[in-house]
Amino acid sequence: MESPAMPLNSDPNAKKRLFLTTRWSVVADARQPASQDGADALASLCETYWYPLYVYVRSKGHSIHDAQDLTQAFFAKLLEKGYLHSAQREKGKFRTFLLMALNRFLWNEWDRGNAKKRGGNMTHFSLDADVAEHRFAREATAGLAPDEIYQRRWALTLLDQAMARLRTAYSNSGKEREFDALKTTLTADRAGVSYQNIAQALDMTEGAARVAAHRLRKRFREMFREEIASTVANDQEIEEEIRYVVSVLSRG
Amino acid sequence: MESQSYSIGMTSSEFSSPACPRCSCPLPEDAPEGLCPRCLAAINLETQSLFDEQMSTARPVPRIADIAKYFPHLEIHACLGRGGMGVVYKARQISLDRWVALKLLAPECQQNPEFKERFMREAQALAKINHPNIVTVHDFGQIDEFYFLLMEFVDGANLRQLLNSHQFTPEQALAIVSPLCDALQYAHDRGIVHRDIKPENLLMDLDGKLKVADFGLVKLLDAVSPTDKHSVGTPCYMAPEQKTDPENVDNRADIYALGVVIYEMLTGELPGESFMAPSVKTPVDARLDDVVRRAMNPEPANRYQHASGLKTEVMFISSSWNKSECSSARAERPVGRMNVNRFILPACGLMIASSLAAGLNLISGLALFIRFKNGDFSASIPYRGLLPLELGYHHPAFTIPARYAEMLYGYTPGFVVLAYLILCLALVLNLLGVYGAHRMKIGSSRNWSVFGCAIALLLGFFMMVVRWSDVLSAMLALAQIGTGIWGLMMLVSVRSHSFPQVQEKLTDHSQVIELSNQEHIWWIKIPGIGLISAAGFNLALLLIAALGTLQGPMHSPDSWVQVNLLPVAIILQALVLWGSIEMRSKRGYPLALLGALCSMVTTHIVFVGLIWKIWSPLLLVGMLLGLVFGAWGFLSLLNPRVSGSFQRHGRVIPRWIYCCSGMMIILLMIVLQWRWIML
Repeated sequence: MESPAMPLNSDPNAKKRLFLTTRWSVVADARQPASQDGADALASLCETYWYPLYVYVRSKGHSIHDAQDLTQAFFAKLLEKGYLHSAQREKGKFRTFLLMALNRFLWNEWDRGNAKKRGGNMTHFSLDADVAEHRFAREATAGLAPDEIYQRRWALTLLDQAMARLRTAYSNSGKEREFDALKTTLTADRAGVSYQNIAQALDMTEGAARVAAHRLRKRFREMFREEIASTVANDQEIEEEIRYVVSVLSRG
Repeated sequence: MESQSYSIGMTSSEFSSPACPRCSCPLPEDAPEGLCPRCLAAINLETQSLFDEQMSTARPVPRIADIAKYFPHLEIHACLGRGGMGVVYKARQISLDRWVALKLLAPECQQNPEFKERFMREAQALAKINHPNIVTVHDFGQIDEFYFLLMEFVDGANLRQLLNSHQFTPEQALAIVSPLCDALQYAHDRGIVHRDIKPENLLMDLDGKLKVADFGLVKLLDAVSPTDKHSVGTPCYMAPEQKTDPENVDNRADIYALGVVIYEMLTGELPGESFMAPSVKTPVDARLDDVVRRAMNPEPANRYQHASGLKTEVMFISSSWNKSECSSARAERPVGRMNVNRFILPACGLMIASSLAAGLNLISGLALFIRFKNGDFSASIPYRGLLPLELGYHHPAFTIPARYAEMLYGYTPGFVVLAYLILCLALVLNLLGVYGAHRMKIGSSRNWSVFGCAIALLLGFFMMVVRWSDVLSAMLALAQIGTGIWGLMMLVSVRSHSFPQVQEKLTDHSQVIELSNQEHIWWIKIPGIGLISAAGFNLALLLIAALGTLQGPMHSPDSWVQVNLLPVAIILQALVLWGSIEMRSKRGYPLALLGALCSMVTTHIVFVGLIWKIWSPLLLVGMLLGLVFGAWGFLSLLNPRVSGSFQRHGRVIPRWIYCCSGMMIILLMIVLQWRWIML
């Protein structure tokens, strides 16, 4: 996932910590933007979900410059007007919440006919808009409604998050090489995996390679499930959300 | 999140393969880790079974908090799964700081003391199993209405899960046969039948090692609640007699299940009603069809009677089946290589050494014969060793002083005849040793191999002592001793049933074999104590002799012996002592065997005494003690029941240690010889 250059506070650990916490708790933290934690939380939210929202705004037909402004403004508004205060777990899925909030915002903006940058403190995050536009231009979004584009982008973000966390988890235990060698087994054909080569590359037995691949698969599922779980209100919704996300991706 | 992990410039390999191998869709540019998002997401919809099986809806899973109070010495972390047998939890044993699996068996409440006693007895038998390919049972008992087992925690996956994710190649499928058969044979030897062999019960840990889980649980559960039908076994893998005649089920039921598992691993499917040969469904050697068919024969008497027999056959087929070897993965022996290959080197060495020794005997015999014919009995001829051999050098260093010669080796006709007879015997034995080495090389008989090595060892030692003044024969003797020991060490670390084409009659045990008290005394205790005392006694004698001669001059002809013979004798007796201690404690089998063997070679005791001009009956006593107890111990150790009760059968000492020390000893002795010659 292409992350826009985000100068957060310089402590990389805080960044990592935020990255790993659930979305909703990040949201909760972000309600106190004045505190350092809150600012970090908000920045983390923006960092992660900026692109899907930008994509949505662009596919709504706004020009590049307008879209950039609007997206930035939306996040600023989140901060200013305390939209996050009304964002609570009970209100359902974070995915839909963000979209609704953005829609409401865009509506208000259109209403006011004002596309200028608003809000004060823009300096606490900066977004690498050019790169994002570049990306958007390359996306195959023909024939899809903005809504659908957003959902698909959201699903892909989730996948990216899950994979990134998986990679981090493996790096932390010094197994990055293993991760790199085994990741292709996740989407390989049933008969298409050469465990022999993998075993040779990783200097382990074939049996051990199989078990490691199985382990990777299992952990990926767990990570993905956690990502989903952190964006829904309660456990019952997890299965439904998983199915929805998978269906969105298989359509695209 | 580091940007560099996801830089736009992903590795070129990802760019060069723009389509997903599975769904053939083009990969988007920002695909996570270069993988197809659609397929990646689809993983999450797979139904995954943990420790699976039918969920018995009868009882809800006990909550961790409820159980934890019963096991204060454990930290219960998570529920790993449930099956027909009960619920399994992952726990941490606090005192030993290790992970364990806590299995709770929940029968319909039976507080009957008779059942409890049966459970305890069965569980005790299980807890005695200690094999690298079997999940160990650490503890067991009963708490409230639960019977529990505390087992080794295996971090990995079961074969069912691995089978579901990716197809096994034939080589990989057959690679599990060997450890599985080892595990089964080990348990069957101890009278324990699994009765529920299936891929779900075969675990593979993170190192790729196979571990069989849930051994004997079916019988255990039968002990606990005979009416519980869930625990009888899994229908597809059950032998027919398990359904019709459960009382008389023995190890052959496991053989049947083994056959089914092999079939499923090879073909990916269960055999089903119509048995289609595996070689039809997948490219494997057609001989495997017969193996599987025989294992799955409905009549127990027609199946393989021992897991080891099946393993031998599969190994033989794999080795002679011309497929390129699997990648040389560390710590895994490629399927194609049989155990017996490692005998080729020592066997060849043994053959060469024994044939040379036989040749030497022949030449000596001829020389003796010629002298005898010529009537040449004078004692003034300088000779080297017991029998003269014209080798061309007459260095005075290599002669025994004449007075000794007269005392010991008087050229009386009677003595010559005796010497001649001994020569003949040595020749015959050496030839037998060559034959034994040959059998060892082709790997067709363990008994002959052991015999060949033992003969080489004994004769080598005999020759060294007797012809100690002759450098050439001394070195040949050393070679014989060396290869003999090497061959023996390899033989004892390989199970007797890994010799192919051998109809070894392993005794049929259906009960747990424990050596009876009586047997234990006669086969282990007495020879063990005898050996220890003999070794100690001899060691003391040798050390006294050594101390006594420290003042002696270094350049006399006798010092050759002082320098060479004494250290060897001391080392040998030390080995005997160590081996006999191992035998008493029933720990290391190879060392015990070696100790017993070395104890039989005690003639050096007498010669050492003679050289030092000490003659006392003590020497004779020491030699006889060592010989008698050595032979006794050796014979009793060869008994498979005795050897089975030892804890360790593999290499006790790392190979490099005894290779290095062996070479160092030989080198040292050669160096000493040369040093002495140069003086």
